[in-house]
Amino acid sequence: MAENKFIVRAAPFLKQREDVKTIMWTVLIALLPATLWALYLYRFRALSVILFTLLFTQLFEIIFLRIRGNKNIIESAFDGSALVTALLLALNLPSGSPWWMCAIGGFVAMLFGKHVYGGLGNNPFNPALVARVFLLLSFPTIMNTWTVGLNPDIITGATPLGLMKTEGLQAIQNLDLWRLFIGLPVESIGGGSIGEISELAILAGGLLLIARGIIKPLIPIIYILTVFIFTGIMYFVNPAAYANPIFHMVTGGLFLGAFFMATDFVTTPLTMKGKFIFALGCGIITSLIRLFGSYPEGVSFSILIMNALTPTIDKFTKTKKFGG
Amino acid sequence: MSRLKTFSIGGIHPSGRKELTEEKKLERMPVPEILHIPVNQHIGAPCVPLVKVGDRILKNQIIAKTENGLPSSVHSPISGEVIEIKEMIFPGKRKIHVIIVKNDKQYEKYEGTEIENELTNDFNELLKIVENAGIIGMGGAGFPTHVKLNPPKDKPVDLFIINAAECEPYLNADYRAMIEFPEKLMNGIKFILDTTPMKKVIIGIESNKPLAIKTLKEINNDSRIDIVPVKTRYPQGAEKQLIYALSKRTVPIRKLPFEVGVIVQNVGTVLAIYDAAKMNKPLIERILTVSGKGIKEPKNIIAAIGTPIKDIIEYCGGLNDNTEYAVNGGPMMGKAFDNFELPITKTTSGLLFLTDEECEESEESACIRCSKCLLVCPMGLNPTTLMDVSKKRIYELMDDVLDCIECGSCTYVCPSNRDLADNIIKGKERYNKYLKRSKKNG
Repeated sequence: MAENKFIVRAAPFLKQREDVKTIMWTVLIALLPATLWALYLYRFRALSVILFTLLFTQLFEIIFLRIRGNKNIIESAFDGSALVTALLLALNLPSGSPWWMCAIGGFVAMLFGKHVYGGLGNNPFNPALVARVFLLLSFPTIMNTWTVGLNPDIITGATPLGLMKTEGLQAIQNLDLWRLFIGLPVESIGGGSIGEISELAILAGGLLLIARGIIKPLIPIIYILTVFIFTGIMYFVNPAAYANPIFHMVTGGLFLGAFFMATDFVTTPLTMKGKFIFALGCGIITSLIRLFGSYPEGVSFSILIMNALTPTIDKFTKTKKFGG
Repeated sequence: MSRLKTFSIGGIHPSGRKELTEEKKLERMPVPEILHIPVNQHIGAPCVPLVKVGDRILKNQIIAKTENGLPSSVHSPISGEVIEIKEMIFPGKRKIHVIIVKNDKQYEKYEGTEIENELTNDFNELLKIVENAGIIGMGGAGFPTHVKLNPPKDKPVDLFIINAAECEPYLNADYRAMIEFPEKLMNGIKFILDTTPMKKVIIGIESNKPLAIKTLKEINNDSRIDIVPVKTRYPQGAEKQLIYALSKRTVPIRKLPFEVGVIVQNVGTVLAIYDAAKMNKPLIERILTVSGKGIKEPKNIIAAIGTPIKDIIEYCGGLNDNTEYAVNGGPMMGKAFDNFELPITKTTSGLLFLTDEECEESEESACIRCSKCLLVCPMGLNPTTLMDVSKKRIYELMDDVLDCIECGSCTYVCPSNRDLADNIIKGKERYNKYLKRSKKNG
């Protein structure tokens, strides 16, 4: 008995077996349906984007952890957080993005998205979106070249949202919304970022996250609903000038953003009230950009803007105390 | 089936681990050669020893007492000689005087004690009996029971709640008491009902103890007493949470249960009150669970207050080699210790000896703001923010630490393994000192 060394520390002595790693890997698994769909649609042109982005992002994660003097480098580098960022970034890129762009994306995500702020947990902006917007502004041509799905000759075309912005409402009036929701290729229409094509696949992954208790349904529901209501009102007021709200739901990055990026723990508010305001803001900004802005799509910008407001939202939304 | 009653917000579902001792009948552990009886076992100013080294004392004799603040007293479970009075360091670095008594094995009783007498029906008489018997809340907080039973006159209390939730994993002390002494428990409850202004009793038992629920329901013939199963969800046995679950009354923050007309007592406390009233027997022993994979023979025992923990370990077959933690109390709120000379006290509901497989050490990493701690906090606090402001001593933002009930749910769920509860509890101490300081400075 005397030989035993007993540890004296504070309670509790039981812990739930869910650590950061488990959460990150669950998110990766939840992204699998959308990833597989991307691979099915774009084959090698998606595979290279995904592999290069994963590889470079993970590499830069290790490098920057090293530079910052992290003592637990293996443990920290492989907690899965860099892979989540990388996969989200990859799914937000057009098919056939060149390897060097994937590398720059990984670099920006890890350096300006994450490590300049002190690493995981301290970054105010979603690192994948920081990188995506950086690439969008730096390489607008590549970032706006969309492959028409399942076409071996690699014909490009505008996305439905892009088409509406440039050609007007009549260009998209006859699109089969159900096909868009499932993510089936539509003749002469560019798909968009490789991971955002199938709302169905994203929804499947999102439901897994909800079922496993990783995210609460609040943010995706409020975000999507806000876009639906906002664009719905405009459609109701003037159906000749504005698209059907369902069209807004099944196109662009709304689902991917709502389920996987507006729910990023680190860059969104802590309280339920805060999350509600965050999602509402995302929905309003997305709708404003889509309806009145010069960009066809506003999901990335709206989430980044709301990321910036998160500390303020946290400051002004208090939890409701029991008995208080 | 109707849904089980439960508290309103937060909560967790740790594995119960009750099976180690669930079926183990209570055993009365023989009183060892030497007892270490601490003079301070309740919340409040320490009792002052009334005996000195060399004195011969009798079983049930008062050996320490205080009238300051929250009055309480300590009795000797044995007859024998006081051989030393010295300071020992208890968990939380609390220095407490301990009266060391050598057992003469005569068990000679103090005059008038352990004699059956007529139950009183006078409220003030009851309070006197409870005070003189040194009874304090045996669930863990150690609040003097006679004070709790006697709320201010302008706060009428109508509901008496028996806290039999026993929501801490491993612990079966209240459970065994309910199935082995159901009659005594019910008689104790009726006695308290008959002598106090309270009109109704609800016994709240977590649904993972069906035998206790059944046993009590079968013998209950009093319409004033309700036996209500509550959901197995931690911390169901926290006072404010249990009150809400059973009565839908919400105790306002920083207020006591009598504000909403409720008094809560633990199972062990009720049994002690009945012993005191019926047999004139002070609180000198208690039921506790000795469990965990580190102890060779997990047991539920009745042991004398002041029994050194080393003797209890020996009585339970000794420790396995891979034992890493010794814990006084449950695994969620208990306190780790490494000095086995320390005794059990009136508030020791369990001793746990946990191995590396039951209780892993994990590396702490940065908060990823997953907000799980906010979701599980039964008080609706923001633990991750409170931990940060506590560590940085930002007193202006620390006020909420005072509402923490120290249940540990936040630490339990944290995927980054942050010591949320511990830091908030430390913050609470710091903040209280800060408040005192600023009051003094006007």
